[in-house]
Amino acid sequence: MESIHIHEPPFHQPPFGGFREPRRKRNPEFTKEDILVVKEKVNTFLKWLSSIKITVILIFYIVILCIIGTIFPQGSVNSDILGHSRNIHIPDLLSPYKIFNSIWLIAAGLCLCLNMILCMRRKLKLKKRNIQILLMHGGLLFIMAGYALGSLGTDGFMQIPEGEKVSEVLLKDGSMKHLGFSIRCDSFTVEHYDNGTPKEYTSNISFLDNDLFSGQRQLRVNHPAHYSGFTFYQQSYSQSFSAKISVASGERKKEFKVKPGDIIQLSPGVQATVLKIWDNLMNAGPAVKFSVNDNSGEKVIWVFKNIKEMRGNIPEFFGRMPHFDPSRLYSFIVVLEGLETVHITGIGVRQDPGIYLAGAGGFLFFISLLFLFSDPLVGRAILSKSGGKDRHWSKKEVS
Amino acid sequence: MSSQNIIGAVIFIYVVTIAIVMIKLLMKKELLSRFIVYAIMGGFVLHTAGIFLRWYESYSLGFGHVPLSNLYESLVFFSWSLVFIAIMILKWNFRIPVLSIIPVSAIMLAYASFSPGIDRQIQPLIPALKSNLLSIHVITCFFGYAFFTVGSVWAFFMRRNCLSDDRPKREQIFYRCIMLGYIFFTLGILTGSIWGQVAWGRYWGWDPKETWALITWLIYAAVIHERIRGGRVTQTVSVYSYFGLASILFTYFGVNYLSGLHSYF
Repeated sequence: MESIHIHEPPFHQPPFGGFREPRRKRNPEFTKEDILVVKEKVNTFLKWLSSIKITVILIFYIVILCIIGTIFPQGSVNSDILGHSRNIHIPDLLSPYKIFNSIWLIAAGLCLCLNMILCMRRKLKLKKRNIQILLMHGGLLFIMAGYALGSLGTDGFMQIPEGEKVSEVLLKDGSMKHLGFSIRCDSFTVEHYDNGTPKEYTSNISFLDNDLFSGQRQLRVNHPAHYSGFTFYQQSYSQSFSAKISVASGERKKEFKVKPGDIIQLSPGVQATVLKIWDNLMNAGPAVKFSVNDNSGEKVIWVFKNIKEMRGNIPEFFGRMPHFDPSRLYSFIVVLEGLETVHITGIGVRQDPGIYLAGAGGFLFFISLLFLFSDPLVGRAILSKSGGKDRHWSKKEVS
Repeated sequence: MSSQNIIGAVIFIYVVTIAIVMIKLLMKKELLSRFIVYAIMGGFVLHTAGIFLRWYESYSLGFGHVPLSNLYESLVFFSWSLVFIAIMILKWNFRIPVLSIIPVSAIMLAYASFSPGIDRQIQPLIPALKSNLLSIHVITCFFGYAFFTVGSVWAFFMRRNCLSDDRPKREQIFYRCIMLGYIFFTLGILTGSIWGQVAWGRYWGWDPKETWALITWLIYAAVIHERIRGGRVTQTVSVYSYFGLASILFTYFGVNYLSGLHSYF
């Protein structure tokens, strides 16, 4: 079986220690002999680094890291597996919650790359080299390089309420990135099957360059859109409410349409900030929570839509808790007329400069794997009896 | 007759086959061998028909899709691919497929058909699964699982010297199972990452299912490298392939207990 040599050549020398010589007096100048010894040691070390044994060790090391990474929920620094919050601060380097970006995995990946490159270099020197195996490992290197390059790209998320526009993306690390254009959610719809399970989520979005319309796209799950080098994905959706509020003081009546965060003038000198809107608070129906600022200071009040029924059901409650019936606190009357549902579409925003490299690597890997398997010579070479360490293992064999 | 009834009949055929094999082993009757082969083939044909009937049923419900979209359907397909490989190697070896792979398939089908925790209704596809990549991704992944499983079982019997003395042949079957598993599983991961890129915007996101698929892929890479290093299926190779089998089981079943994006399988 001389045709193709893909076995690990037998390798008996330990990396170091096989050349131990009696200690000599240190000589400041290297002799030719010294250089030869160093060269040989380096060669032996490189050979050891390129061996399949190291490959297997590295693979299992990465496997263990991956297992740790799936046991500990990644990214959640402040909670353990059971969801308890913890106050102990673990440095990122050692944190089991950030395995996949940790120095341990990156170092292992780099070692594996080095191992592959050295192994490929060794195989290239052989007279009969096997091109499929070289291409396969080259493909893996491409994938890893592409993945590393991807970390230079953008991976973010934006939430756009229907009818509004947003120009900043929330990145994974919590920071915001300005896109240079803004995106408006024209409409968001959810379709359902007859049995109630969701069928399709659709966002119609417009791109605005300096507030000028510059493009329109439709996003659905599995149907992303591209614009200006970024790719946009339908990722999630949520709902919020806007409330119709009316304020009556004497004969005058004012109406507002508010959402959380809005500030309104209830009466001269009295300002209210909308804190939260519920469609059903404590089973009492729609409610709005305000923070009200007047001369006497700041108060938090709740305005219920069904306040009349509640007064009838639990009359003594509001005597004790006037914050839940603000007409007892102020001269004006605040009424929650109704709620409107606002859809908020959640859009993933991505830009990955490494994707083509990784894709090419994946393609190369798979094609050469197919050729490797279909090459009868390789199969025969692998299956031949003259395996590298056969003799070594045969001692352990139970026959 | 519904597809679930057919799968029930398939379980019956496989169980009867296993019973006959037991009798055959006890009584050392050579006559029954041919019958066993026909029974397995018949069960397989019915099994295939059951899958196609479920496909047809989904269309008559108005939302047709390939029957590969939940745990029940994936279990039925996984056991189908195991039986398929068992039939492929029946020519080389009789005892291993019949004594190990067919019972595993029958148990898997019975679990799918009778476990109270499994939803057997045909459900319409949720938006995330509506993609042309669904069928190719699931089929390649499960063929990968199945070839790896058979390869690992083969290694087990090889090490126990339960196989004939024809060493090149048994080495070859191990090598082919692992390599075919590797080809299918690699294709499964590649189609999965293409799908991930299309649906979620990233081809790799360290989701638990993805990570465990990588673990399985890496362990079988170690099996192949150790096989090349050792020159044959050594003790180490077989132990690594048992790790691989455990990893497959965890990738398939265990990951559902971790939170992730693949919860529908």
